[in-house]
Amino acid sequence: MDETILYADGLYHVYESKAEDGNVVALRGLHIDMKAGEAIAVVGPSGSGKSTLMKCLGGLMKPSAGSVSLAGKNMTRLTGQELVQLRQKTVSFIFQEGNLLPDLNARDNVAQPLRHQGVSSKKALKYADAMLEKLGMAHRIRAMPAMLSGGEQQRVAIARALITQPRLILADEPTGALDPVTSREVLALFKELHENDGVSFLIVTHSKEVAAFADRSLELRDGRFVAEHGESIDVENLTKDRELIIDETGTVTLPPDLLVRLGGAGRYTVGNINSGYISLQGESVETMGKMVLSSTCPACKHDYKDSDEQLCPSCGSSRPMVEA
Amino acid sequence: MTGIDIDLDDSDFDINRSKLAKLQNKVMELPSRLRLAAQGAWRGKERGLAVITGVFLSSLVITTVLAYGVGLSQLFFEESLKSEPFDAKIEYGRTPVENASGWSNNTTVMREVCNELLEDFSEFNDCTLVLGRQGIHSGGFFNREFVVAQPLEMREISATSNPYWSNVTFTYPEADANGPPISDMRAIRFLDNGAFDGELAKRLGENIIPGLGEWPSAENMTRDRGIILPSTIASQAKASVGDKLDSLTFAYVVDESTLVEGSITDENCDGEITPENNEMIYCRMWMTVEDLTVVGIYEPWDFGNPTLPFNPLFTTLEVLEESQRGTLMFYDHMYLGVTIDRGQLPTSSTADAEEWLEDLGTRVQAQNYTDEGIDLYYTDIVSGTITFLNIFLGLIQIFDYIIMIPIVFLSIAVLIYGLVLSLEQRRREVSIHRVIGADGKTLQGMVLLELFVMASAAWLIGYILALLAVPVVLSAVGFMEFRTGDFDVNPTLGIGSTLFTAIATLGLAVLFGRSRARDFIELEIEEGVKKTSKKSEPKRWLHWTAFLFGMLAVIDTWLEMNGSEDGIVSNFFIEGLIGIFGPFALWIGGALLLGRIGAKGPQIMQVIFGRTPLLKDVKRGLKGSGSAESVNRLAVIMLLTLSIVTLAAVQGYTGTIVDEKTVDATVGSDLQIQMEANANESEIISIIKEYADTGVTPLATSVPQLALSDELGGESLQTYVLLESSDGVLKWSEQALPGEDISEALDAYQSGGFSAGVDAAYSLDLPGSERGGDENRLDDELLESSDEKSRDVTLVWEKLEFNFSSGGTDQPDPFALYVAYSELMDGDWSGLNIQNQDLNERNLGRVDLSDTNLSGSDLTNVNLSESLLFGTDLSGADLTGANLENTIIVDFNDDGIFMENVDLTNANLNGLFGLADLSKAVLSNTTCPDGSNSDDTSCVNGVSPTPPPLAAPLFLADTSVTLEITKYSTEMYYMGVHEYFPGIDSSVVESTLIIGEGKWRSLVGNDAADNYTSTTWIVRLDGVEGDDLESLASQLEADSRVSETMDWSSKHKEVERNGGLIFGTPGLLSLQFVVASVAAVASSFVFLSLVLNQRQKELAVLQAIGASPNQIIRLVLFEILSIVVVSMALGVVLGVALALSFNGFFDIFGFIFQIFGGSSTVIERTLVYPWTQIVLVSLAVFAAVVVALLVTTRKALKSDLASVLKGE
Repeated sequence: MDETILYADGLYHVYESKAEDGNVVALRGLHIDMKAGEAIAVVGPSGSGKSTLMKCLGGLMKPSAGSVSLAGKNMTRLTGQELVQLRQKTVSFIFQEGNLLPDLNARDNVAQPLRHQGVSSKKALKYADAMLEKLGMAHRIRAMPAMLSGGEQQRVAIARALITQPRLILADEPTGALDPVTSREVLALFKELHENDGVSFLIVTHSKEVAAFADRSLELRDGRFVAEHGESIDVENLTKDRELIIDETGTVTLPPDLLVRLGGAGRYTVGNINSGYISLQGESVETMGKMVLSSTCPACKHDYKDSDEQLCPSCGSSRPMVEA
Repeated sequence: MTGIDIDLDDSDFDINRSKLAKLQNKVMELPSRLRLAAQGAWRGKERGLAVITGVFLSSLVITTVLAYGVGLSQLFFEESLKSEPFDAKIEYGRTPVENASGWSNNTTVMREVCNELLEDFSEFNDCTLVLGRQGIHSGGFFNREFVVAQPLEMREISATSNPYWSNVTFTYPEADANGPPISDMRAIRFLDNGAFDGELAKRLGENIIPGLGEWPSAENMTRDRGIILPSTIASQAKASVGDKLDSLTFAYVVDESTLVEGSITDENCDGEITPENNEMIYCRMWMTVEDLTVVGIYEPWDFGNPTLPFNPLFTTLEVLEESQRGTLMFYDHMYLGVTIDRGQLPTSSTADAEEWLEDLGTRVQAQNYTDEGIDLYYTDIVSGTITFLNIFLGLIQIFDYIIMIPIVFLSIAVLIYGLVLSLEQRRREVSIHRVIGADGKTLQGMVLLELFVMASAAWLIGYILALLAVPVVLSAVGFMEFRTGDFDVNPTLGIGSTLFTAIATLGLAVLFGRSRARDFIELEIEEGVKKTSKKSEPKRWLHWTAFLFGMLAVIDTWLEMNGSEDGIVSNFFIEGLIGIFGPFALWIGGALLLGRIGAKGPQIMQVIFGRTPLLKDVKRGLKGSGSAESVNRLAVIMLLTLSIVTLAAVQGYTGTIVDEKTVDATVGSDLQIQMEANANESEIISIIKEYADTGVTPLATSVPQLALSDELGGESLQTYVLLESSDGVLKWSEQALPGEDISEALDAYQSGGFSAGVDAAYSLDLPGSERGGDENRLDDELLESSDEKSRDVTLVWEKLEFNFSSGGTDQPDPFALYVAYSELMDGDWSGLNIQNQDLNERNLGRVDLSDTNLSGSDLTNVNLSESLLFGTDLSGADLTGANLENTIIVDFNDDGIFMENVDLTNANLNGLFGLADLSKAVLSNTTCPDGSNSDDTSCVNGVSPTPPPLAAPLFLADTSVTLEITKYSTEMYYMGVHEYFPGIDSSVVESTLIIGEGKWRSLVGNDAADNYTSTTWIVRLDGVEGDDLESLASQLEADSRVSETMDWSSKHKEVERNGGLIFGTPGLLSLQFVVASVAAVASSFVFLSLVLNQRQKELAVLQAIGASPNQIIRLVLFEILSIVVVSMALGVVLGVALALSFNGFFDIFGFIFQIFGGSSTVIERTLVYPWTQIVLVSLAVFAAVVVALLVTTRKALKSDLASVLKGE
């Protein structure tokens, strides 16, 4: 189980844009090393590059720079056809919105991935029916997506993801649209897959429970993993239990709250440096005035009161620093 | 996994399969993939609407054109088969020869052959023995033998109870005119009992005039010794059903030779010797039957296949004795007339039918019949018609295919448009499939399969609809005017053609689909790597080139229509290229270029309407929806559509007008009547009043003719006189006379002007003849006498007159004398061309040689005594030793040219009478008309003044007369070129002159003018139209005083049916029109769906922030409608240009058709613009588009805002 299932190194992606601000850099030199059987949660504010990350890691998109390896195969070297085949055998996706094919009913939706791999309709449908039954959708196998509730759609989507027996599941807020009960059921299923079948998970989430399910969590900011949290990540308060990541290029990002406590941006001299230890001495620091965490959420007016939360619990946007 | 056992091994997955296994799997999976495709197509049908429409339309159009071709052949078949009851003439294997085998002149034996034929061949459903036209024994119209075989010719009928029979002439010149020169006499046909029952009785009896007898049964026919007459003969004789005829005499051929061989002489021929126009000379014997009763009178059939004589008298074999029958059969006057079960005839193509018939004929000839071993020769009647049809049909089909190209192109444009749009709408679906493991190929396959399912359904519907529509299309007589019930056509397409339509439409759809889908999917997959898509720049320069080339055709037509002779180019070949390719280049180039303007529609409308309350509040929102490409495409499609609509309307309507003018020119007015005898105006009017309703006032006019020549010499030209009474009667159109104003031209005639046809102008060396360079050019202008190009010409009329020194005659003029004398002749050799032939020693005494060309022939020692040589050309002939005693020669050429260099050495001219200039001839030891010898007197006394003995009874006693040519002349001024004269055959008009009544009177004298009579009259009948007119015309024709009538209404139907210029175009143009309109509506609808779909979120947001549905509708609709309106307007303009350029195309094809004998017209195809119709139609299309859009938009606005706003 020490086999690396997913490995990405120096992943950059730039979106060309004619906007005033120029091109948008979505990923800035991202690294990840995921072992088979791991469950990793990705947390971070909106706009940090989560969708782009999913697409690149899943082989749906070629990054502007950097390499991605899936199950030991470097995807940048593969042709379109080989890429598809690799994906078919290795990875499945689950999105926040079910993303079902609108013109096919539930069982056809679930069977489709197998069909794409050349499995006969008969067999594919058989397994689709079984999968849907397992997920409690037996009574709705012939329903059209438009007729299903959000939760039902998600269950179908999950069935579709599972039917190819993937080794890795990439999920983007899989429980985002679900009610708590359903969410828990889905997580229980994930747990089962993870523990019994050794399926690897990379889940983007805002949710406590999901993060708790993961072995470790990576904090994504501005296109990089800046910090890692252990099993007991507190999504609402990322200051706790945080381990900063210094990647192989030596890049490190200080999350805003640390930056505030350090005093601000500027030039620092290196004080002591030993194995596993470094001290920095600020020479010329642009104090950020006194930057404090804002007391209300600018988007939804949620009152943070005295907490140190970095993310707004109501709407999820990050909490900015303001001058005192 | 997770409790469900997914039991799949390597062999279940494509990745591990061999190529073969993959293929096998694909095949096995086909049913389920089809199911998914069908479901997808059905559920996404709105998205697929344009694709379905495009395929449906092109299937409809292609199938219609093909089935139309089949329907046309069926139609032609029906029409042409109608004119002949017999389908084949089965003759003796060879001409009967005494003591040879293979034939019999025993009636019983030949009847037996008939029975055997019916038994052995299921294809025949009736058979009868016939005595009539001789055996042809060869194939094809173009064979010499075809014209040699003679019918049984009528000679006379006498009946004590009806003296009119003695006045009946059995000459039938129309028979000669409407086919190859076989015989110009009415024929008689003796039918056996088989013709009086079954299929033959049905066909033969079809034309019996109701109330005038019936087609009897065999017994009744035999019992009554019946005879059935064609109505023309019956009316000449004033005969009716029940009349008894004492005797009937006819002639049969016993021997023949070519005219030149001349081996038929008095010595070896006991009967009459008759030369025919087919350059043969026959010896005929007469046969008489007695005691016949008229049992029926029939309406003559139209002239068709000339294998059997047209419209004969019918009677039964039983009136002949067996010995008589035997004689006729010996002389090869026997055949078996059979009918074929037409249901068995293959109708899929004329080629198939021909082959079938040929095969049948071969099989009939392959065996012999009865114990006597009779051999037969099969002369097919049906397929002769087919050969001719084939060529004509082929041409028509090519023409029709070509004019359908624009609409096929339009359908494909709609198809591609729909494809592109539907792919755009599937973007999200495609990305989902990618996520769940589909590769490019699989995606392509899925899209194509769905496309295939949709296209197949659309094709099938189009195909079925087309087959139903073809009879409707065929019944079109004008643009969007249909008349059903004329015929019964059921076109079906053979397997081959059906497959072709399927492959063409589906193939095209899949072909375009494949390339578009591939491009689209590649684009999707490349996303993220290459953000910029390679958009191929449209090849603007190509569009401009096409457009400008097309404009050449337009300009060419425009110039020609406005008086220029040649337009841009005079080279026929280049003009042909421009004419054929120009319209298409114009259409496509124009549409693509003008489409860019159409796409700017919203901006244009904004400029115009921006300030008005209509748009003020939504102005900001009009930023343009859809990609630039889809907007452009919509504009182009609207342009294509409207231009076709306009083209179809203009050309169709013009065709209708051309038809009407053609009929005007042919008939002259409402009715044209041919009388049996000369009549004057009041007689005509009173005859008509007898049959017309009271209160109808007929106006009648006639067209006197005479021959005029230039005083300075030259040939004489046929001249028509425009009587003043013609003013209110004749139906003129501006094209007929010089200048633009008819009334000006008509006035000019009455003030002493004359006009000439193009050839006549050339003879008189006047401008306008189209030859002789630019100085001689005269466009369509009316010249005044003072004009430079006009000239004063003195025209001379030569009148042949008697100059009596004593005595006189009852005959009013020399021409009447000629007619009376010619009836005394024994033989009729008139009107033949026997120049440079060897005719020496021949006996041509008492023979009518009028108008015959004998110039240069060898007539040494010929007997021409008492013969009539009226207008006979003897110039350069050798009449050494010839006998011209008491012969009548009239050479009315002023210069005696027909007598020039005639060698009369040793000839006997004693008593020669008439008008001949002997000084032009070679005289040597010639006996002069006065009895002296030319060596002594040089025949200075000329011809004899005493009528010869044979002609003497026509004169009073002791008459002494000379014939003279008196010249009457008058000066007239030239007013220009005329193109046709209503009521006169247009083919002769080019070499004629037209003068006014005043000048005519000054030439022929008031006496002759006031007492003018004619057999042909043109009549105007206000208030009598359509069926009333037709029935009046047939009633008149049945009157014994009337020989023939031609009415406007029947002629119009004929011309409409035969297309005036090209058969059946109105139907196809109407179809184009309908299809184009449907395409327009469908395209707008589809475009709107896309727009609404793409901007769904935007519209939902607008609604959420307070825009009213009304404002939204105005916003969305206005944009699309402005594109539609601007494009439609431009489309109409393009359509007008197209119509102009297409004129050249019609001209070229019209020319080709004329070569093959399609009905030609002298009427120019001047375009008429039915603006009302065009505007109405455009409004209708526009309204349909608006309704479709309103419905769609309302529906879209009702959708769930919340779910839309939540977004992806």
